This record gives sequence, C-alpha cells and structure tokens, in this order.
Amino acid sequence: MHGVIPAQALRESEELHRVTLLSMSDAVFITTDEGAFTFVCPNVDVIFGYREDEVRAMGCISRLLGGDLPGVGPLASRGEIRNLEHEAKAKDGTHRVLLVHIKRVSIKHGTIMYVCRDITERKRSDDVHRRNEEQLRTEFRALRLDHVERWVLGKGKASNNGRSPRMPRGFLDVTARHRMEQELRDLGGRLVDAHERERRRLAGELHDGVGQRLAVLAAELALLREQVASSPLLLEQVDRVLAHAEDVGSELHRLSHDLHPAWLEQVGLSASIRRVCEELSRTHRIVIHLEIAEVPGGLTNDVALCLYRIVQEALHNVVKHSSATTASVRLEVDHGDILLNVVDDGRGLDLLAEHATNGVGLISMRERARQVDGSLTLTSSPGLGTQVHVRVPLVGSTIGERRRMSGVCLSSFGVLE
Amino acid sequence: MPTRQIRSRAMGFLMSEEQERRRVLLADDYAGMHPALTRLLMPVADVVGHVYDGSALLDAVMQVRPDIVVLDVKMPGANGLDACRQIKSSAPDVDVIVFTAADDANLRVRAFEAGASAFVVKFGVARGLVAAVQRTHRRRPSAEIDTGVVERHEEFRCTE
Repeated sequence: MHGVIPAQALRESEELHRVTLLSMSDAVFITTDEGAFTFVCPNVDVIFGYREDEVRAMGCISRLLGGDLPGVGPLASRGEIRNLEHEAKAKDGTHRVLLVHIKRVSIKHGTIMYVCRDITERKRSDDVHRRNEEQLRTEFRALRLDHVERWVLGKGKASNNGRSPRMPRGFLDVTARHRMEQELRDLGGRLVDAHERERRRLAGELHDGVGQRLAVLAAELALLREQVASSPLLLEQVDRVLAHAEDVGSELHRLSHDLHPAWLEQVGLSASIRRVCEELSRTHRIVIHLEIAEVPGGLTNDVALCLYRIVQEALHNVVKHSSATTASVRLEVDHGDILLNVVDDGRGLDLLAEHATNGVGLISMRERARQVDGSLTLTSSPGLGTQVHVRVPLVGSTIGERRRMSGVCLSSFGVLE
Repeated sequence: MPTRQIRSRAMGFLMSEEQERRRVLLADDYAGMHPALTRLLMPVADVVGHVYDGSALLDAVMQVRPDIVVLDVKMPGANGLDACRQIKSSAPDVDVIVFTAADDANLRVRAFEAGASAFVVKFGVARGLVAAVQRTHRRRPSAEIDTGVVERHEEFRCTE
C-alpha cells in the first residue's frame, strides 16, 4: 500500500482545502498557459460580486482581470510574481484595487495560479490619511511676547473616523528656513536687477555710442550724395554705401531695443508688445494672435517692463523650442490685477525634465513676476503646447506688506524656542 | 526782429528764396549730429540752435521761435512725444519733425498723433530729412515771422 493514499484520506484533504479557501477572503484561480480557467474558488463573489459559475462562463482570466497582467513569458523566467498591484472591475461596476500573486503550478491540468487580495479599502484610507496630513500642515507668522517675529509650522494628524480635521497639535519653529527662502528670493531679485541693468547699459552703448555715430555717418553720406549728384556713377556708389549704413543702423537699433526697450515708456506697453509679436511672426513664420484690453494708465515702469519681458521671453521660447504654428498673447484686467497669458500649440515640454535641466528663462520670468508682487504659472505637457499665465496687481504693494497681510498674527504666542 | 530784417534786406537780392529758408532748432542729445545736419540742411534751412536735453526744449522753442524743431524722441530729461505735444500746444505754428533711430510703425503713428509734421528715420536721413524740411512749413508766409528772433546759433543745455 506504500505510495497510495487511501480514498478516505484524500477526501479529508480536499475538504480541508475547500474549507480553507472558503474561509479566506482572497480569491484563487488556476488557469492554463492560455488563461482558460481550470479552477475558480467558490468565494470569488466576495471580491468580484460574480458567482463561481459566472466567472467560469467567462472562460478566460483576462475577461475578469483585464488583459494587461504579465503573461507566461515573465512568469517563465521568474517562476513567481508577488505583490502586483492591479485594478479590476467588479460586477457592480466599481473598481477594485487588488494585490495579485501569480505562481507556476501543476494542478489538475492547470499551470498558473492567481491569488487576488482586495486592498481597495486600505488604499482609500491611505489616500484620505495622506490628504488630511497635507491639509493639516499650515504655516503662519507669529509674534512672540517680546515682539520677535517667528514663522511657525503647525502639523497635525487627521482623525480617521471621518470627523472634521482637528487643529494642529505639533508646532515647529521654521523661522530659519523662512529666512533662507527669503534670502534666496532676494538673491533671485538682485540677479534679475543686475541683468536688467547690464542690458540697459549695453543698449545705451549701442544706441548712444555706435548708433549716434552711425547716424552722423549717414548724414555725412547724404551730404556727399548732394555733392556728387552730377555724376551718376558716383551717385550710385554713394547710394550703395548709404543703403548699407541704413541696414546696419536698423539692425543696430533692433539689437539695442531687444536689450532694453528704451521707448517702452514712450509708446507704452501695448505698442511695445505688438511690436514684439509683429517682429517674431514676421521672422519665424508663426501666427501670433494678440488681444490687448485697454491697459489702464498709471502702470508703473516696473510692471510694464516686467510684462514686456515676460512676453518677450515666453515668445522667444515659443519660436525657439516649441515648433508651434500659432501662439496667442492676451493681456486683460481682472479685479485690479493685470492678467497676461501666452499660449502656444507647440510640442509642449516635460516640466519635470525642464526643472531638472534648470530652465533659466523660466526662472527669470517667474522672478520678474515676483518682483512686482505677481505670480507666474506655467502649464505644459508633451504634445499639448505650453501656457504661461501671469497675474500682477495693478496697484503694487511691497513684498513686506503682502506678507504681513497673509500671515496670521497670534500676538499672544509666547512659548516658542 | 531788427536783425532778421537787416539780414533779409542785405541778402534779399542774393537769395531770392530767402523767404523759403527755414529756421531749424535741433533737439538731439548727441553733439556730433549738429555740424553734419547744419551742412546737410544748408541749401534749405539754417540750424539756429541745438538743445541737448529734453527739459530745456520748450524754453528754447519759446525763445528762438524756430520754424521747425528736428526732434529726437529719445532724449534725456523728457519723453520726446510729450515734448512734441507741449510744443504744439504752446507754439502751434512751430512744426516738429521727429528724427529717430527707431524705424517703427507704432512710434510713427504716435508721433503724428502728438502733432508731428514728419517722421524721419536717422539712418535713412539721405532720403528723408531735406525733403521733409522742404515740405514742412510752407503754409506760413514769411511776413508773419516775427519777434524775438535770434540770428545766432545758441546752445541750450540743462544745468542739472
């Protein structure tokens, strides 16, 4: 009788397996290499809502779990795949998040075993918990009793029973970090300033130094032209030289104006922006739609220069990198703020990669907006163009003022440090 | 006034077109421009003054009473277009020719809106300036040219 299991023992063993399987909430399937069911556990309805026979009727496991599970190939090389997070749809249409184990077996013609555990609830409560954690991180400015200003981070844990989040119960003095961030911002501001000053100086040199001399040269040539008017040959030569001088002159002026729009103040923001759009659309074969609402007077030079520079930088990015065929620039006023949008239909950019490679243009645009108390948002994704949104208050408040307004002042807060 | 009359009498027979000669005040912050323009405009106009600073321009105009101001819009001390408007409101009979390095359609429109009679790009001076001076200021008979005329070249600088 050696090697033969008595019928009674076999029945008992099968009964044990059945009971074990039924008492678990996990669902177990066994299939052939092609995915056809050879075994479906009777408690499959716990997770999926389908009865055992309904699942069997599907015939193939991909009908139940979806076709994107790893196939026989990866399984053959590894023998077993554990803790695979996978989403499937239950009978009532709800999405279930499953933790799936897949294993090579050889049971009753079946070769692959799937064990699915439902972790939907766990995931959901994790998410809620994480969200609550985020909501309960808040930073505020506090005045100590001795009138020293500190920045405080309040952190709290959410109660997991659905009640409203409680007030933070842990406080952290983050003044040093705030100070560092402020210094970083100041440094950024100074860099933009220095950059602008240098450009202004160069533009001045070009316009007043080289440009004026060239203008005199043109005037002298014009005089020479009058004097040789009787000789067609000489006249032709002088005209040629004059044409060159004129070419160099307009190129020089364009360069100088790019460096610093000296007459932004003369012709105003709208005209200056229009000029940039016209020039770029002419030189780069791109259609630029321009929509400028009536810009109110009293715009400070700082704000005008900021907006002008952002348009310039954003459009340069568009023509250089985006391969866009159309772009639009919109300037409007909304609740005492100026809104600027520069949008293109180009290839877009991978913001994460862009961040990693450190787009200087982007940083300087953002810094410029910040300098006049505004904000800049850039949205983009590959294939979907790029959108630059800027909001700048018409009536500028200093950065210090704004910070005072946003902070919650708790004057009785005297226990820090 | 007397100076002008004497000159007119003395030179009238030599220059039959004396009445058509314009008196030009040059407003440009670059000194080097003056001699070149003086010679260039010689056949049609006299450059009777040179202002280097925008803030001194209006005073100079009221004092010299030129026929034409050749005005560089980019000058220290003033917005050139505002200066143009001021001239046109204080001395409407003085014509302004905007003379600028910026070849720009917007600026051109704004210049005319501010009352300029002509717009000449500096580097295209050969084609533009003499003709612009000739075209400008035809309508006023020379008989009306009057008082306060200074027949010598003056320079106006802002002391600050």
